[in-house]
Amino acid sequence: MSNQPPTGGVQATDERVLIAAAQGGDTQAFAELAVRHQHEVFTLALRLVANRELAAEVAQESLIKAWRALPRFRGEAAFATWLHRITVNTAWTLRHRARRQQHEPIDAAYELADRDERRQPERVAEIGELRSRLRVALAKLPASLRSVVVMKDVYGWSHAEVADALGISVTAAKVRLHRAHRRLQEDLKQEVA
Amino acid sequence: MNLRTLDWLKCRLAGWVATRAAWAGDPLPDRVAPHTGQCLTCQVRLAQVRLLTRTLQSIKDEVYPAPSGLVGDVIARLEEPVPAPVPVGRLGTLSRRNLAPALMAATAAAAVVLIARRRAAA
Repeated sequence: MSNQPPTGGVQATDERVLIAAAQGGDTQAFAELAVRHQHEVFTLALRLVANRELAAEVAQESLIKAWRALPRFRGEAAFATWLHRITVNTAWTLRHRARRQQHEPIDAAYELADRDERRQPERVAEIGELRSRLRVALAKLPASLRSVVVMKDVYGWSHAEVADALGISVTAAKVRLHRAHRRLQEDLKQEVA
Repeated sequence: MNLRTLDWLKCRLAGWVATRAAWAGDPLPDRVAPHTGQCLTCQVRLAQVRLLTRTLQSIKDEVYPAPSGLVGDVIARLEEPVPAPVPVGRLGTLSRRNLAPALMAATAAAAVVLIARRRAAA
């Protein structure tokens, strides 16, 4: 991932200490890491699967996978970046459950778009119609297209990183992205006109 | 092909190249810049794509709060033993065991069909 904000200063050092402790089997240190990163992991999962229940499941599985894989974490990438990759991988593995749960795709989409706004009504004006509609349009995309858009356009991953995370070729990733863009443009024609 | 059709095709092609570049966040390629500079349709298309890419990037800043108890559930599950993978040998035996009746059934069905055809031919 190329656009992760660098974790700097005291917090980064602190995080390195926590990671080292967690690698040594300290569950309390890992719990602290999980508390710090749970919201971003859940947010990414929610964007990928467009379903709150499944996103919670994905987030939980991702954190457990992270704990198990922690001894192999060498710190070459930021911890958040590494965690994001695990989350994408888990969401991709559990995508068949998303298919089963998406018997009401429109409801799921609006759930994603509206819940946050209901929670924070003062933000409605700031967010704007396009952003809200875009989230709905994203949620309506098939998982295979949505995940590519989320990784490439929202999180700024490269084509190679997207392809690697999904286990597809770079060409396939580009094709999916192109299809997703066409659908989004089509879906949001009126909003952006 | 008349000139109008040619212009339309040129516009579509330039628009396609320009919007691809816009989606990728790349600068406008030199070969399409002269056309898009004077074509309002292409400029509208480009503006739409740029608006969409900016909005998509802005979504990244939004954070959805994780459900309460998520970390607690994770920590509770950390102590659980990792499920052991099924040995490959056992998988092989299982599949062979399933395969044998299926093969027998398929062979019997093929034999019935062959006999029926021979009788029909005779």
